[in-house]
Amino acid sequence: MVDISFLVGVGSATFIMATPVLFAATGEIIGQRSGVMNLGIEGMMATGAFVGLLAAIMSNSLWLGVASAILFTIILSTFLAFMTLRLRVNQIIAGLLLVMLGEGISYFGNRTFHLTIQAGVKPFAPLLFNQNILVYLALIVALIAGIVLFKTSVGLKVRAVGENPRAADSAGIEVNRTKLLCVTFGGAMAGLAGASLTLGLIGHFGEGMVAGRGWIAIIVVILSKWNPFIAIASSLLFGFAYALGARLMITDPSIPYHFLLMLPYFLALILVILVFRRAKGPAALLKPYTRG
Amino acid sequence: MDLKRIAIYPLGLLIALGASSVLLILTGSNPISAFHAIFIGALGSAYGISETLVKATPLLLTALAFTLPHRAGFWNIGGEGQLFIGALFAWIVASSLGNLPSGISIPLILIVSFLSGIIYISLPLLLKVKAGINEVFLTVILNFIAILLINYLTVGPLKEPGNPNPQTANIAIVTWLPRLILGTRLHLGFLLPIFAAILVFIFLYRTSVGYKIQVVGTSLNAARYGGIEISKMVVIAGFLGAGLAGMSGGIEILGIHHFLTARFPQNLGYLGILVAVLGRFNPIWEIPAAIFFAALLVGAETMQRLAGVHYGMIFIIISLITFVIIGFEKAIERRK
Repeated sequence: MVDISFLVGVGSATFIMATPVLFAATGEIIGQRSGVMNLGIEGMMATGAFVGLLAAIMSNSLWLGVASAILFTIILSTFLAFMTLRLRVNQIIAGLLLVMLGEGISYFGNRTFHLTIQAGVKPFAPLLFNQNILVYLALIVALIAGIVLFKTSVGLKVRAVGENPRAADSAGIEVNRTKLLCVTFGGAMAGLAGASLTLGLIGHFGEGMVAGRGWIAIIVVILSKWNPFIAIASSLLFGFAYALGARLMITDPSIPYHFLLMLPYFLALILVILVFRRAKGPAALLKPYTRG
Repeated sequence: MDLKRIAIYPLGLLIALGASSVLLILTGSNPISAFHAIFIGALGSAYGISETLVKATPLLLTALAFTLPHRAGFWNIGGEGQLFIGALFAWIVASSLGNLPSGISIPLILIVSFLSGIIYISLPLLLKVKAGINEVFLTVILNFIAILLINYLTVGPLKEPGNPNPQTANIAIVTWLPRLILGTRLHLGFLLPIFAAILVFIFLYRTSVGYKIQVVGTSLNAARYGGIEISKMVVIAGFLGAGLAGMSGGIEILGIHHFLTARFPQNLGYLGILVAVLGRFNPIWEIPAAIFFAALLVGAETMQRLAGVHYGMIFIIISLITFVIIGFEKAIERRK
């Protein structure tokens, strides 16, 4: 039976479920707009989720947890930038390696520090409308990213580098430095996305808890036509799929929960098939840039 | 291959191990005893060596499953899912065959697992060639769905009654791949990926279809100009690759586990991609690359037991090794 409390429950959970996806997608949009695809988000989120919780437990501060998660994924994304921009390793391969590295760090770290067994932390408390601060932060970050990207000269530079690096170079823009900054911003957002899973949602770490959200964030980027404003709506759509599944697990135990967990994946599958055909990304995406 | 290119392997290994040592020291472990345990575990005994070969079997197949489509410009990240679906259908057919003689049932089951891999790649492959839809995300999403499906089946309809673990019943012994050495898990199936690697090499470099596939992967314009049927080449490469991934699932069922579970050592599909990268997408070089990573994975179990360093460390070590080595390769390429 669909009743009001069910709808309110799903609606309210939609936002917190959308938050990790929105953080990661916003960061990825900036990176891809500059011409670099970071396929490693899934791994960076895992590292962010783990490091964020561990640091929060050790320092007894949620914000220090968030900061540590960001610091770690900035390091990982600098690594990615070095590989792809300086050494010109293929971006897809470098990204996949980073997934393995990031998941490895969270898996090894979790077993070494026994996080799963240890008590977690009390996540960020709800503020307005029963949503915690990270939910609002994600919305604000996406809005600011959209404004910067489309309304400022900084955003114009980023887009120029991703569309036509040679022209940008002759206009005096430092192409690879711009890309580096965009990639590290994307990394920071992936760390925040991971931290929002452990510190904003459950307060615990579980292996495999990222469960494809990093990949879905990249799909959101393409669905949203590399536009942070649209990414808010797309993330909420996936947030709804996660929230609906999570709610139905409680209210309707007769449905095997595996199928409910599949909901976001099937949504992604359908949207990819419907929308990707027309998707047209930044012209220089995936292409390394060298002068001369 | 010149000396510089050979030197990057030991050098890269040393650097990656150095970086891992820092992490090990920070987490309170002794790197020397950890690396020593890995070495002893993988190569220090006949059993260790046999386990390394056992582990290399699926790794080499999933590496080939990535390599073949990659040569045609198709990024098959779906080896993981294709492996699980191959394992699923291998189990289903094996448990419904009754008592056919091994000589018939085993090849039949392996063919079915090969075909299941093909079925599982069809959607992303067809969408790629018909509509130009990016295959990376579709193949990844299908991995997640496959693993959830196996999870569901092994706690639900296919679960062995009375077994506390989420797994199916064993398949009949007549369908098991024969073990080669008493007291080890080394089974006849370990030869298949080596044959497959040689066949893939011959196919790619010595047949006209293989040549066309490589043209498609290298330059679409050249392929168009040369009148090559691009879609057909991508589909052939994709089907053969996914078939090998499916078959690796079948081999794991018939050779090692004999039952189906989602708790297989996961990540075999993703590790296969790293094997392919380390082997520079050359089927022959992927043989030592697969054995090398397999040795690390087997040694990691000993590292956990003897040195108290958790097994998960090996995924960090493996990604660092691959990172450093391809970084070196690229740096050398640029100097030229």
